[in-house]
Amino acid sequence: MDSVIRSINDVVLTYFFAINLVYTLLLVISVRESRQHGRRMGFGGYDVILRSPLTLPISVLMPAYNEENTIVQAVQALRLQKYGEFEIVVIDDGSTDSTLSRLVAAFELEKVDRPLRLTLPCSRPHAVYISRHVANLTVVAKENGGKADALNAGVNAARFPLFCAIDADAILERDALLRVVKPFMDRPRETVASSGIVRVVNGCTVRDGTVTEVRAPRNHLAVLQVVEYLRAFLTSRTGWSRIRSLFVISGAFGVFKKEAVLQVGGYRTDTVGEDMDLVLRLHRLYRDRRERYRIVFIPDPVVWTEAPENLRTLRGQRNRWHRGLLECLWASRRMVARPKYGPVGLFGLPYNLLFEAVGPLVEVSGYAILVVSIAMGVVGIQFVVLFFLLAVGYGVFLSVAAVLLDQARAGRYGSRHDLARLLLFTVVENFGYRQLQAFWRAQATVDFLRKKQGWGEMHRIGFESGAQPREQTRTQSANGS
Amino acid sequence: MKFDALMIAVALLYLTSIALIVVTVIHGSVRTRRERRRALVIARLREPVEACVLEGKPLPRVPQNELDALLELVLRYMSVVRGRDAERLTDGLAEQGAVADLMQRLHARPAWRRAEAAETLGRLRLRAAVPSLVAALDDPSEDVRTVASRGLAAIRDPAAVPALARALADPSRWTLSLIAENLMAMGPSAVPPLLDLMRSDEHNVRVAVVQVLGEIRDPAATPALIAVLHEGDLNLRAQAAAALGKLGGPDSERELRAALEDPEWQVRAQAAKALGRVAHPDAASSLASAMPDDNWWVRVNCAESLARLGAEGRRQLELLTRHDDRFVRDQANAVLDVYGVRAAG
Repeated sequence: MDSVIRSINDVVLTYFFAINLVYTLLLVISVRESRQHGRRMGFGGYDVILRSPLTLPISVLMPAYNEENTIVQAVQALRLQKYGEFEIVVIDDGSTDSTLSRLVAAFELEKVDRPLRLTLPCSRPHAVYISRHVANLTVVAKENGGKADALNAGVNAARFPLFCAIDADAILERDALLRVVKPFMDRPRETVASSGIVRVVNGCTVRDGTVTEVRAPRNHLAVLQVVEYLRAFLTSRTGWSRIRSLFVISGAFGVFKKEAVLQVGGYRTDTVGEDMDLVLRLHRLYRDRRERYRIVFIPDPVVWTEAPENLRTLRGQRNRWHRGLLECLWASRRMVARPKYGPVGLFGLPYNLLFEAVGPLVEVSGYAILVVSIAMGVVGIQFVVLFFLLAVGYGVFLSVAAVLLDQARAGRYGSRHDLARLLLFTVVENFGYRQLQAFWRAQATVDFLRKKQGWGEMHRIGFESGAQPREQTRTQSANGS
Repeated sequence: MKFDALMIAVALLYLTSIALIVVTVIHGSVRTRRERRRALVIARLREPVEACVLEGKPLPRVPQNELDALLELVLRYMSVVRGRDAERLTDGLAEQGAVADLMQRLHARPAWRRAEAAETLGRLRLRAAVPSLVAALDDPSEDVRTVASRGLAAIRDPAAVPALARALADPSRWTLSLIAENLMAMGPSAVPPLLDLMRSDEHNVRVAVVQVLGEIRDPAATPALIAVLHEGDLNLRAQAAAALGKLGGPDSERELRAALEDPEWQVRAQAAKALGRVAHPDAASSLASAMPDDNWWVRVNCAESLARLGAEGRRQLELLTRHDDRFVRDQANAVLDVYGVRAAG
């Protein structure tokens, strides 16, 4: 029995070192890439992109389901985007509240008899509205079919060669479109998709749809997520993008070449990980055709989004994300470890499978085995404490590196107090939060195996300063928005 | 052994994390102090530089360690001054060795330094820098090439046009649209070398040249673009139709009307869109005749162009709402509907 437990312990230890080796490599690549990107930004040429008639026009697609509290403000904020030619397409996904009527009233919308070419399958659109005074606003009202279905309807209605998918509750920085489109301008033929960083808006001051003051959230759970987001975007996606293995573009903010998305059949409506699924299918399409392509992440276009401030909502969100990951991995299983699919098949997908998908199960079983090992005297308590300190130390090191990388590059959190708070939470997250996440994700694996569907509930508190705090509950259909 | 190794690893990790924080704090404070010092120098130099711009006094001489601050200040003024005032500023910099230093930096080892130097030379609009910037168009770094081309466009020296036009012929890694934009900024002086480049065998280059000629809108390019419209390559013909729409003129309009009957829908769609741009009411009947097309884009572009052609266009659209073809009726109704809402707004 002892030898079995020892063997399992060795497996867990090897796994621990392997995963941390991958994180370290990603960190090194990300730091290098961030440095180069920072220098390149100095020669931006954003003024050229802004005024050039050759800049590709963009359709901004905003699916909305029961967003009556934020939708008008979200559209107003979008209108402020610093970009040449763009249109805003709001897709009302069968809202049961007054989302549509608020849009109609605010922008003097009128129903028009505009035929939509249904190139991508989607639930039946029942009306198209345009505004009397906002020339670039179109609203498509359709039956409820979920976020992916609404995005497909949006792609059908989009007129321009690029489209940007954003969440209705997200705040795009004024120059976000200008920055995120740069890869398309640099290499117009190769670039298929690009995305920017998602930041947590909780705690920040928002006026007229713009983040005017960046502060760390007061809510502890939200601060933990700030650290998590920085780590995920700055030390992970930057690295994956550099080695051409970016496997996900956040649903909250991403720009795609419409033609490419049409060729892969648009968003899949039977998964909760439609954003990752689309990116993986794009990789597959271009690799199968042996064509040069790029799917990139750049850290300076920013979208702000609200992070859950209670455990119940956070648990639902993480459960959905993990199920989405597993669904995508299952759907793309034929790409795993196949040289034909390049870096994404050889590195990106195996990493996701071995560490992101299996990781929570190994972590949870590791804790259980540790308890058994101590009880049976297989390992000494000193060794356990040291190993725990090592795990915490590594977690802290990666998070500190992410926070400092952000600080050195973007310097968003100007106050020393906020920075100190973020650094403190790089330690705190290792005591309880990390274990909870592993447990939730292990549960999500069980849900996936039991073929559980649905998005769960999203409780929201509005982010506009000065407004009365409002709580919004979103319960969606099987693959709801 | 295992235990000791773990202990060392733990200690190393924590020390590295602490070191990271310390280094960041020190780096941040050094940077802040440097910026403050620079701001002070700039504040001190502002008045004499202003006197140079407004009163024609010579640019102040500064010690070597303040040269970058002076350069930064001069660059701020360069965006608002022209002619002799600008020359006085750049001459002053040249006398103090700043220009020679920038030229030297064009050969620095790190690519970002070369790009930075190219950027600054462009912003200074130094004609003397044209040969160096032309040479930088062959730099191995894409960033340097892009910035150098932008710099050349900012200087607007006709001597740079052939080099920029040649740059379009560089393989795919070139940022075609940026170079194209720079050529457009140079206007008609860029047209002759571009027309020469039309004879290139490189398909992507020819597409870019057609686009740029369309944006420059010089009628001298019309015959060449009409010739492209009759070539075999589908993409080129569609781009030529779009470009002719931007150039306008009776020859373009005649060719575009003929292109409405092209066997390829891409060309028909672009011709329909282009005729809307030309905005001559005589085109309305041609667009109305072209509207019953099998292709959705052709119908959409015909209808939208008709809506742009004023009363005659709308009259044709009204007629089309009674057309036998359901798709034609729908499209005409849709455009009239949208037009009605916009007109009421």
